[in-house]
Amino acid sequence: MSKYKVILVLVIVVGAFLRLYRLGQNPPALYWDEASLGYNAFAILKTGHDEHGEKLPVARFIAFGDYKPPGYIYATVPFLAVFGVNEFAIRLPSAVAGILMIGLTYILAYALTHDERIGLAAAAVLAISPWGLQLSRVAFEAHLAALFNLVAIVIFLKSLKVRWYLPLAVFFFGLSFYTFNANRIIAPLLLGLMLVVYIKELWQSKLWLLVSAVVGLIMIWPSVGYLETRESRLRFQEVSIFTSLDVVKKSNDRIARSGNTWWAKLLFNRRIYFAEEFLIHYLDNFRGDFLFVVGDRNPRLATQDLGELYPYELPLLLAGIYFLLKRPSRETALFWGWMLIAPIPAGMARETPHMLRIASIIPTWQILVGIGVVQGILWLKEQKAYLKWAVGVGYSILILGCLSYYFHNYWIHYPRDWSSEWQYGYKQLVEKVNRLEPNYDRIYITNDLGRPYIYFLLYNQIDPLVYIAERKAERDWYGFWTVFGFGKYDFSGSQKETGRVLVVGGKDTFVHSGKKLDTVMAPDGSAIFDIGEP
Amino acid sequence: MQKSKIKMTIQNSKIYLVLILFLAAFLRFYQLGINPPSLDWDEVSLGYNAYSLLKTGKDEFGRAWPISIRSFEDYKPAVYTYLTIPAVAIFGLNEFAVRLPGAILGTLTVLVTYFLVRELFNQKMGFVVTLLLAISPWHLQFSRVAFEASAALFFVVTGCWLFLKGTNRGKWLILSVVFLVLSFYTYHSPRLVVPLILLGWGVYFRHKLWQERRYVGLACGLGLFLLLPFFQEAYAVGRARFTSVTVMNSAGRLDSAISRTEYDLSQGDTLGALLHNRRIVYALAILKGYLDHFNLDFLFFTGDSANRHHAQDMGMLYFWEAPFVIWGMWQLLKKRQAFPVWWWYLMAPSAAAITTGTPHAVRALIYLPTYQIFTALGLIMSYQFFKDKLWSRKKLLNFAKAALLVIVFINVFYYLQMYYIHTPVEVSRDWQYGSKQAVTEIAAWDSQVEKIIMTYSYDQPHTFALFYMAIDPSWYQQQVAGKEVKRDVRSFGKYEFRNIDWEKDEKLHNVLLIGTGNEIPAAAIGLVKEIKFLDGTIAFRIVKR
Repeated sequence: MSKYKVILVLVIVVGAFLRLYRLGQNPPALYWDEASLGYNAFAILKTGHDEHGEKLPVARFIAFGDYKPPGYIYATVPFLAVFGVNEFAIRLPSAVAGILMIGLTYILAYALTHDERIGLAAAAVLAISPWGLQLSRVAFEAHLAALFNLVAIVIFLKSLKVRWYLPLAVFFFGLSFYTFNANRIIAPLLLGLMLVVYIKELWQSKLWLLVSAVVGLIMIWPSVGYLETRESRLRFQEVSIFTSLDVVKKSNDRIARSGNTWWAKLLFNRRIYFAEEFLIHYLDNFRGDFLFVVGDRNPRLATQDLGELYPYELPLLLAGIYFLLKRPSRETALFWGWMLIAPIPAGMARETPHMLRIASIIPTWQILVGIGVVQGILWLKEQKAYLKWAVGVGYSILILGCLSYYFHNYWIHYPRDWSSEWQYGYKQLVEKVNRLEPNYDRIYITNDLGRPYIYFLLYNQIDPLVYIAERKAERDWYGFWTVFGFGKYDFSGSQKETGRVLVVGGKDTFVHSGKKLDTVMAPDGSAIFDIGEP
Repeated sequence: MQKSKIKMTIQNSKIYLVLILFLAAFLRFYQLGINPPSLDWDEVSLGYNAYSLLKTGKDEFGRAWPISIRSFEDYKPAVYTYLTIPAVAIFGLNEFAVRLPGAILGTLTVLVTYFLVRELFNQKMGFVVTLLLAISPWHLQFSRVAFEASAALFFVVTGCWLFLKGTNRGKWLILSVVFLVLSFYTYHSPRLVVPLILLGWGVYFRHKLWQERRYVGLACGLGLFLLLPFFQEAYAVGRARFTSVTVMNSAGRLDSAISRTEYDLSQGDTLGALLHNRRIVYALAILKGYLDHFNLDFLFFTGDSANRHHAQDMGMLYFWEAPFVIWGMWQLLKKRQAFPVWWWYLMAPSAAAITTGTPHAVRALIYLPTYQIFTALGLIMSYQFFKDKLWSRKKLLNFAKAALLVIVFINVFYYLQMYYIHTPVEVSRDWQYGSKQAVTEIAAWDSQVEKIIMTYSYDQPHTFALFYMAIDPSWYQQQVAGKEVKRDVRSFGKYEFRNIDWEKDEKLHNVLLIGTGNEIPAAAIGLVKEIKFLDGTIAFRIVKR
């Protein structure tokens, strides 16, 4: 084994450790979507039906009514079979995706620059990247989709030599299409870009081009019906910037103020303002504070302490951009195009920047930083001794400081300070309620923290067919499901019966009346749920 | 033949410069004082202090010839106020007079930028950059108002131009220092940015400066001497302003770090506690502030968060400039002028970075004219590129030129539409529009009521009263002398400035109440007048009880 391979294995081992170590414990609990993915995977494993009784859905899972793509759920099924129904198994597909992406980053960076050192540097940057780690340690569909996206791109580059790889690349794009909504836009755009950049080569192997087209069409076929439904459009409109009435009003006001002239109708056209909105949201994903200082503002998507990249990566990134721009090739054209395409779906949504919706941009940033690392070291080697030492030692301290800052906060403070964002407490609640349950006929559970039913289904491993037969649930106009109860459990928020009744409420439920039996505590010692008799 | 051609171009070039300056002046003086639609409180305060200095030689608080104006306890650097004195003397206390120095210095900045860029590059670059600055939305915005920042920009650009001249002929350094020191006395940002620029340029031009070392020493000595009052003042009161805007204060920013430190210490994790050091919190906040200035929505789409700092739906630069800025930046990297311009560019947001509310168009105004240099270089280089590529296809080249011209024209036209037609209406509230109208209205009631109470909701209403009623400064100085100043309760004579509590205040008799639409109901008995913002919403209701 060559020197580089040994180092690569070491990098992957470190990356794997950082992704797998206490995977089920930090982040401190499964949040709603993870619980939902986990339960649906369990339901498929056990019965072949999903939470709503649909047999092996392909286009989408109804889940909460948010219509989840099926990729992550099916990927989780074998892990549940092997490791049982627990947090570790549910998050494992994402963690494994993260580990595989380290190796693939090496391959891609090498294909791009033909330099093993850059491949290693990029892989190492991804292995310790806050962005990659946050994605890897949670059951995020986006991360699995980013893996498929990366696999497809790597295989595509190989297919320029080995022709029959081409349909395989299309197949992986198809998988990403079925794993995360943003990739339903990214995958076809990237394919289009590849077609434009490599039209000559692709045209030479018409046969495989045809096979690929057939593969693509077959894969898209099952979802065509769904994509036309009202539900799928509603899901898009919920987050879309193109439904804003403010923009329309602004446009109309200005046209009127400029005298309703023909040029005013063109100049202040709502389409121009919608295009402007899109560009603003799209470009938000390249903001410096998002990348280097504060990261995504959603505490589930970032620790809120540091950006998606470490601050010390900034100069390396700039150097990387400079050196890659100086070496234009068709591979780099594909690379830059990929960076520009990946944030397009996110740009159409309201909350930007959004590290999850642009997850398929990984590992482009890391490769650029990798180039910067190698060029930086080469530059440093030529400097005078005192400069070598000053910069070397200074930068090492900076790197060490950033790493300690990130890991300290992630492991010590993040699970404590943000536990409520992870719906911490539900698992403990289910355990405590289970212990008390035999003595009661009816159990009332507060709905204040949202969707308690999914945690009772998941942690008690309730057969979906039994659940469907017993459930009291309603679907609203937007397609979202509200579950009011099943079996002994009632989540409706109002207590209708007396007698042998157990009540779960928020903090201080039993201060004035009733008898408190137990409490669920957050990691910082505050009460989340009080359990008792009325 | 050859000689006359050269002569022609020189004459032409002078004509170009005159034309550009004429355009710059027109864009800066047209409707000066009318748009933006109202003076804001800072402008009004500058104006009244100039008036006070003119009449009494003291500012509104009775400080004789100060180097910073106490104003709203923010101790504004005083140069702009002094420049306003002659304008107020000639034109009186009005919007035009207060904004006139800004417009004059703004126009002069365009001229000086030509000399700076010609010194650094060549005449062609000089023309293009100057033209771009003449029509720059960023520069126009602050040349048409009484903001100290744009006056400071004039001194900085002039000082830097003279510095470049001084690298060849040392005596210019003396004059350069005078202008750069003036910028210190004009606005806060140069106090950090200018030393940083000088540091970088000093190292870069060290060989040339070494040959002029006598003048360098002289200039340094003169600079330090001229800065003595500044240091003295900064030591005494400068901190007030600094702590109010900097990110390096503890207000709320350190809460999480403190609680995390406590937790770490309770767990015996001393090393961990060290990581929540306030210096790290501040460093990250400064990094964020710095990087915010590279946000593309700030530059090209929406500007910063203050509506007074740009036309609506306009960035600080024109949208069409975007590709040329990027191309110009790239091209500049290969040129010998790379370091001076890039260094200036990278240092420009440093002062804004240590403050809150980033990106900040005013505190980072010293960016100008670097963006115009990038755009100009991008334009010239891409023109040459296409000329070489398309030399055989003249028509295509002409088409490309025409297309670009049309795009530029549409963009500039859009800007002018937004600036003159839509922005004043949509954001008149941000300019404290209505305060003047309210004060003028109540002045007529002065003799008919016992007391006049005006709301503080739009902040600093007493300044508008002082300014638009031209209250005698020597009388006013006596009113405030020795009194503690509270931010939201002020009074002089029969005027009282505080928020209206309608339930209590409606029972008062023989008073005039001026409140916001929320404070005074539309059905109030004794309603004298309603004053509206330009978008038609209620600014003030005036009630006689």
